[in-house]
Amino acid sequence: MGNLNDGVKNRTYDAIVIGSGMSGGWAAKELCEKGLKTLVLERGRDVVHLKDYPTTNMLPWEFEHRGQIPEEIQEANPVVSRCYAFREDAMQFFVKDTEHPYVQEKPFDWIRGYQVGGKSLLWARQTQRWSDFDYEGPARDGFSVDWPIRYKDIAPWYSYVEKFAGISGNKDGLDVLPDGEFLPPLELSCVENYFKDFIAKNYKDRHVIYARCAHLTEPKQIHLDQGRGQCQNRNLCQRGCPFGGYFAANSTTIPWALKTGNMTLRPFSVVHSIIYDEKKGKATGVRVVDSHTKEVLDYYARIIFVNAAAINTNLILLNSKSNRFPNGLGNDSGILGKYFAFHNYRGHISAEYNGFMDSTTAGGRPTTAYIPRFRNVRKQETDFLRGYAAGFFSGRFGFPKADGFGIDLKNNLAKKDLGPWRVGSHMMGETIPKETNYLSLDTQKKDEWGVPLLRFSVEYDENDNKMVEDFSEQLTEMYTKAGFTNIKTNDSKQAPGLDIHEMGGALMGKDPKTSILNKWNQMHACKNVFVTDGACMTSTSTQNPSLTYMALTARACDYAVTKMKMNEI
Amino acid sequence: MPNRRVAIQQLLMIWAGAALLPSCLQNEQKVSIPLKLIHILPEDENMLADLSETILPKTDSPGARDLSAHLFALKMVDDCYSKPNQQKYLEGMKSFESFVKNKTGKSFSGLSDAERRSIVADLDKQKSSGDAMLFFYQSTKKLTVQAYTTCEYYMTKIRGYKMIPGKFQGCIPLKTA
Repeated sequence: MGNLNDGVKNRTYDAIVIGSGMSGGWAAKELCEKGLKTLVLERGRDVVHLKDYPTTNMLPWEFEHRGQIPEEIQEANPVVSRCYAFREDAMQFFVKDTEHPYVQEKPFDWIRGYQVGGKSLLWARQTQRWSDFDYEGPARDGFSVDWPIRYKDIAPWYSYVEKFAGISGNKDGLDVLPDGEFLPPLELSCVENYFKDFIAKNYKDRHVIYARCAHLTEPKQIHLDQGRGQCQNRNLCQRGCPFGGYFAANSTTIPWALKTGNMTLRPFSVVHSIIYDEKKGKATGVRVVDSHTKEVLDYYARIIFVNAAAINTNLILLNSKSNRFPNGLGNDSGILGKYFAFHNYRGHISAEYNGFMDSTTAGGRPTTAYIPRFRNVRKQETDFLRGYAAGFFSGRFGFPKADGFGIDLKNNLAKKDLGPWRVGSHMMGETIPKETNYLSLDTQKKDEWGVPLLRFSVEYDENDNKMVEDFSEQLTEMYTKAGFTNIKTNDSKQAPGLDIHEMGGALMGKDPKTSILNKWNQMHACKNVFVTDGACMTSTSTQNPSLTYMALTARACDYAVTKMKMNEI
Repeated sequence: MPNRRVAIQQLLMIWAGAALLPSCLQNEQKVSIPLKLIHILPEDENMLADLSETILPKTDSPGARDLSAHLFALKMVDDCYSKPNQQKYLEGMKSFESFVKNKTGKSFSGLSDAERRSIVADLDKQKSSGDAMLFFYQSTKKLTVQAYTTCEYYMTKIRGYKMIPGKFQGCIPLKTA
């Protein structure tokens, strides 16, 4: 018995964080810095900054298939093969379909990164703040539930995380996309600047700006203290950056947490469920299955942060069943797993521009220009709800034609004909969370760790279809007026999920009857459990969500530790 | 006696084993790189090396043979082509070999440089069609060009590739690019 007790003692911490990615890394950093002995559970392997980036310094000609993924791997893994970043240089950071199956009642592309750092190694690093046009959206337009917070509640926390992460941007002074704590922006191209000025002159409420991104364009002391350096514009970020030029948990929050001496990182730890104690009326720990040995181990803590990434957070909560919570932890309302949403990335447009033919760009810029949402912002204008933002990029990517053979061919390939400027945009549409878009547990099938497989019942609706059409129409008009030619639009019809912006299922809200979490990301019905990843999102906005997860996490950690000190949790 | 019986058994097993081995597998050992799905003969490999070099010859810059472009092409067909396209490629390769034989009475490798160029010139003029031989030629050309345009010489000397650009410049005169 003595041994058993010792074992329990050794497996007891002040806090447990489930997940080590975008938001889990922040929870680890914040809780460790505040002095809490923190166990960070990661289901995948460790990926140590610099050491575990095997492709980071490889030259293009050193890749056996020049970046392409072999047919055999693509055939066996159709879902992940649809992801733009699943290429020879980064495939080691993606989950293969065959390794972790799931059930698609309706098609859903679930893109995953099971390792320390999660998808923060792989993200597109776009960091636009959300505004009150987003936080007030559900209340104004009557969907989902009212956000329990407003911009003023989170604004200081945006600043807090931006300063540490390092965000490059311009002060644009737009209420639809509030300014932040910015490092200098990178340059826009001549065509992007032309389009920016053209749109400003010709549209009252539309803007083209530099897309804010998590890159150290000019590192401050805090970034140097993290051991990170200036972004070198390699634009090979998905391999892991040898300079720490962009924000990844691996280069930033995880090593920072480790340095406090308060973090214990346990890779290969598949979380089965959160343990609820009915007598105490709170969660006491986390049940883990060691991914190699399959050994089941319980770990204990006073508070638990769930940051497994939106979908797996839903899975863990749904699988955390007890007499008190027969339908999943905190799920008195029955809405856990429902109101699951994502971003509509179906619309694309491309064109050419024949101006500035004597100019081009140099270097690999890791961001683009950005068109903030302009539809239905101040009032409802269209027959669909909400709106979309769009990227805007330009460059001269022309490659000489491989005409002829022999010496002719070689001469042709040596020509420096960059062709006209090519421009393009992709849409980032807000989707409406609905009860009918949901995740659930399979009642029969389990994975090899004894965790039920997740079932996806998520699809687009008419609102999304109308929005794709409007994107094509509006962007075509803007492009045409600006003198772009050879305009082509495309609806990729891609399945939900490929946007990799999954959100919802454990909504924040004011009322326990219609939401799972309160305004502090704390479970209404289980006060020592916090959810601060994509699962908490009440609505989806048009802006990339990661920055908001970071800010919500830091804010929730601050609240949780304050309440712990007051012995309230 | 028992020893002799064992020896005969072993001999029979070796014969049986040899009979089971497809003849191509023995030849395959001589192909320069291991291939998983496609089977070719050493003479096919030589032909492919000569064809690639005819498409993209050595000049003051490296040629296909310097870059082992034909081996890159084989690797890509073996690993990155769909099964139907692998079949079509191999079928087209056979057709190409017969075509050259019928036309010249020699193998492609047995031709002079000028004769090789004349064969390639005819094929290079043709527009894409479902024809397997043309598919073989066009695929080989595409992969040879890819080997060249992604090689160190071409990327650094001709395209000015820098792995670590340092800064991004949004608008520079074309002349200095």
